[in-house]
Amino acid sequence: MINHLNTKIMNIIKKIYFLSTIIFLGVVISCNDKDETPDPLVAVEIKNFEAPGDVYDYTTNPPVLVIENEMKYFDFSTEMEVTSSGTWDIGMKGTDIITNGGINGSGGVQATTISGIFDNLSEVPQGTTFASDTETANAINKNNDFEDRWYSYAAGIITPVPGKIILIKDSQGNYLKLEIQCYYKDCPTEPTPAVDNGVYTFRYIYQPNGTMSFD
Amino acid sequence: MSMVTVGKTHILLFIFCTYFLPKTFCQTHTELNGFVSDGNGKRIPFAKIQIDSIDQVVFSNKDGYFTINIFIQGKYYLKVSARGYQPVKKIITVSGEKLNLDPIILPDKIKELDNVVLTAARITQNINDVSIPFLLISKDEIERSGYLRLDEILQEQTGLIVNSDHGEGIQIQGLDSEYILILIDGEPLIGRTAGTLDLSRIAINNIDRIEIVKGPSSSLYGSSAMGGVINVITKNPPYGFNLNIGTKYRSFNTLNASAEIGYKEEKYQFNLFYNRLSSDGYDLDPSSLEKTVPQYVANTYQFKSKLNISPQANFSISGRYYTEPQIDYEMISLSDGLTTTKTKHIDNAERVDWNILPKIEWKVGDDMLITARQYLSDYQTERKIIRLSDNSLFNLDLFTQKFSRTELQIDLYPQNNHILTFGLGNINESVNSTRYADSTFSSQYVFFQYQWDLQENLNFAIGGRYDNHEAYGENISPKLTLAYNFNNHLKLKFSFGAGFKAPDFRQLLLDFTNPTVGYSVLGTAMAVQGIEQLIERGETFRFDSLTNLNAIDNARANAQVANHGLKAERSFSFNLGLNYRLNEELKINANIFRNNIYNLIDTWSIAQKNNNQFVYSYRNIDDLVTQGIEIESTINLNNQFKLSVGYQFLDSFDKTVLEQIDNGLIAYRPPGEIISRRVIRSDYQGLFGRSKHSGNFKIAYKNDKLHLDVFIRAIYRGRWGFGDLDGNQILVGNYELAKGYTTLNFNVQKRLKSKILFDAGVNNLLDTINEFEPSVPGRICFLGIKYNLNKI
Repeated sequence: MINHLNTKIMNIIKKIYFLSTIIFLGVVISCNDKDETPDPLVAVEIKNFEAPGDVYDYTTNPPVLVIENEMKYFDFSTEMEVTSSGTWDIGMKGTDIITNGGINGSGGVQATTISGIFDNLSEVPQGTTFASDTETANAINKNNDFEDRWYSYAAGIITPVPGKIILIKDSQGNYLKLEIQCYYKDCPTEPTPAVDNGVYTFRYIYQPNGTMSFD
Repeated sequence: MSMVTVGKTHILLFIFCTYFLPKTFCQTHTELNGFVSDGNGKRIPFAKIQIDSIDQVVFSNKDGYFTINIFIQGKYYLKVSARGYQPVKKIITVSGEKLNLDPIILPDKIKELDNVVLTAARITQNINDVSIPFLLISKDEIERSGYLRLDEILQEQTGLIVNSDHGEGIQIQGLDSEYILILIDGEPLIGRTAGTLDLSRIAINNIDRIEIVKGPSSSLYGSSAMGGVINVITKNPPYGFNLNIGTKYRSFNTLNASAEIGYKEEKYQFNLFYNRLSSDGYDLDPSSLEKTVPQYVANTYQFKSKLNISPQANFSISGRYYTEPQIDYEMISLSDGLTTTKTKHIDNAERVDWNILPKIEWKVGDDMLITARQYLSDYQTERKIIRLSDNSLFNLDLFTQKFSRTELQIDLYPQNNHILTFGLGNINESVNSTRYADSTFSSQYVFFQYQWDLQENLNFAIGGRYDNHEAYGENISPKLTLAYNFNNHLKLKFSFGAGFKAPDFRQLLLDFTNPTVGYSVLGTAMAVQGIEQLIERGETFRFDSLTNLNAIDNARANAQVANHGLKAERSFSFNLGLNYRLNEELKINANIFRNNIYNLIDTWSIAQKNNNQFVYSYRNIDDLVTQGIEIESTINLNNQFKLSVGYQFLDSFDKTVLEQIDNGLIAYRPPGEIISRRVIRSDYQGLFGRSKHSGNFKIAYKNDKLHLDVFIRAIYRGRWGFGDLDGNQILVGNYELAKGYTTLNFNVQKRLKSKILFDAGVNNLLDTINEFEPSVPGRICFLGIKYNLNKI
């Protein structure tokens, strides 16, 4: 009878052991999982980055340059505005965007523009070719077609095209995806032509580990 | 009813006599002899003679004579019909061995003006014989509506949308004004701005009717007849001397005055028409100095005359002269880069068009009609913007277009159920403008059409046109139509047709630089030369030209691509229509359509200037589709009330855009927001400027005793895309849609002492205003009076 009871208790203890082991292992595995997942990349948002273009007087033909503005430079890895003497990735002036590569710099920065959804783009698509600024065209916003242009122009208003993503390989060889979100100060619902323009709001996701993934 | 019963008894008797009794018991047949002629005594061959109640049909011989044998005496219905004539029914009493009938005279269908149309097949035909989607706006409806201009009357019709873009243009089956051919008495009106032909240039006081073909008609009319043809037919004078005068005053200090004098006798006729319309215009946006519609005075002079050289031949000459000066004021901001100054300018604009058409019509024998015509037209605009403070000229824009068409058309009627039409012609066009390079083009064409009534209830037509344009090459536009009458109530119509539009002057020859913003547009033929000029002028491409030869090479290479030229825009279309007619009091028409448009012409940038602005040119790109259904019904409740209702559903899309959406390549970003989201198919709202839903409801009341006419109309236009706000080039989201609107219009007319007509009413009673449709300026009241010498 006691033997019988003992075996019963033994069985219960065995079961408890077995369950605890499973739970323990589960916890350990899940904890390990958590520990091994890197933090997801977060988009850097830059608001009201002022880079106005040159101002022309159009009352004469050909138009006369009245104010010449400075190119403004930005470094993606430090998320900061810099000067051309430092390590910059892109320069902006009006709708012109240059990269620190090709004819415009020695940083080896390359870029391209693709169609897609910024939030949904998880990696640099297979077969994407990056280009440097050349005498013919800048890498960003090639001038020969609407296809590659990040903005559209109508009734005096510059509107960044949603669905255009600029992919950049920076001076350190890391990839990032960039979306220009508006071209006027504080992103007004109804911008006024030529007022508070050349003021960029943009966001980007920078992958510091050299891979092509943006997750 | 009793006749039919008698007839049935006769048939039984006839069978009984023929088969069961010796011939002598029954009377032998009666021989019926007669002939068919037209109103002038000319005999009609191949006329069909039917005896109701006994199933007997014979045809008249080539001299118009016929013989029928009838076996039973009694009363019969005789029905006689022939193509081109109105059918006639007669009661005859058959007795004796031989009966010579009185001459049977068939009235000309052409005399029956209300039902005769010209535009559908380029020959006179009865509207019931038309097998393509067709709309006729009658004189009655034009008069009842109390309108002044063509755009106003057209916007009340089912499936016709007025879209304001550089003038009041019309849209048919989702195709814009630049694809619609506008004719006055069969000849094209020229003078378009950005593709739109402004319909407010056409006064309607002297219009007899408006004929509208929906769908492509390039097989007969050539270029531009891709979406349809609108033919405005002016009045012919009635016999004797005729005088019409009238005036109307309406809101916005708009004054209309018309005078018409006509005379007609056997040998000749003429008609003179003058109209003056002046208005202060109106302003829907008080924040700007310039008005939505500026102050204007429009003068229209028209004449029409015809001389009958012989019963077989006539010579006619008609023409039009139109002038419309406009005055407006505007603030122009000029910037020297540091300060922006706004200065007041006066904007003087004037447009003038004239045309003249001599024409000869010659009937050769009984079965051939030859028409030869020479049409000349000229359109000019001048716009001068002057600074008010010192009278200095800010901008001057001049434009002159000339058009000449020589055409020969031959219609053959070999038998009464065949019609063969063919023609050939030559067009010379030239343009002379401050924005364009001067240029001249010519094109030649031939066309044919063959119509065949295979059976009484089935007819068929096939046609085609070949155009050869000096600059744009060859185009072939075929057409096929079939119509089948199931019975007297139901008719099925099918048509397939092709349309094309040759690129216009602007797309080829424009050489324009925007004076305030600084971008340039070059027509394809101007691209190479234009780029060279920009290089020469120092407006070099991206950075310094001396150190950057490649950018210039790139611009030159793109200019060479543009220089390859443009293909004509083309379309293929299907229409399937069903007409149901219970009786004269209830009619329902439905039509399903689909237009596939290829090689749509759009702009692209060929270079970027030093000032960051682009140099644009044109190229063929997208393939579009417009499709839908249109339903229309009229009901005559009694002699006094007539109701009609119409509705159009329209679906339109760009095939390339659909592909990009499916591939996740298009996003949208509402204005003021910064996050972009993926566009899925259900977000896509189709092409800009197209309303998915539109319709109308009309009530006409007519009291002959009181000489009173009341006409009430509700016109609905559903929401449509007005523009691309988020820069993705396509229409998505409510923020890019203009609100739909309804206008309610009514008009009361009362005739006094038979010759005088009073007219009062309100257009847009609900005071609807839509910021995206400037042709809807709010409530308009009007009051008018008309005098007609000949009205009895």
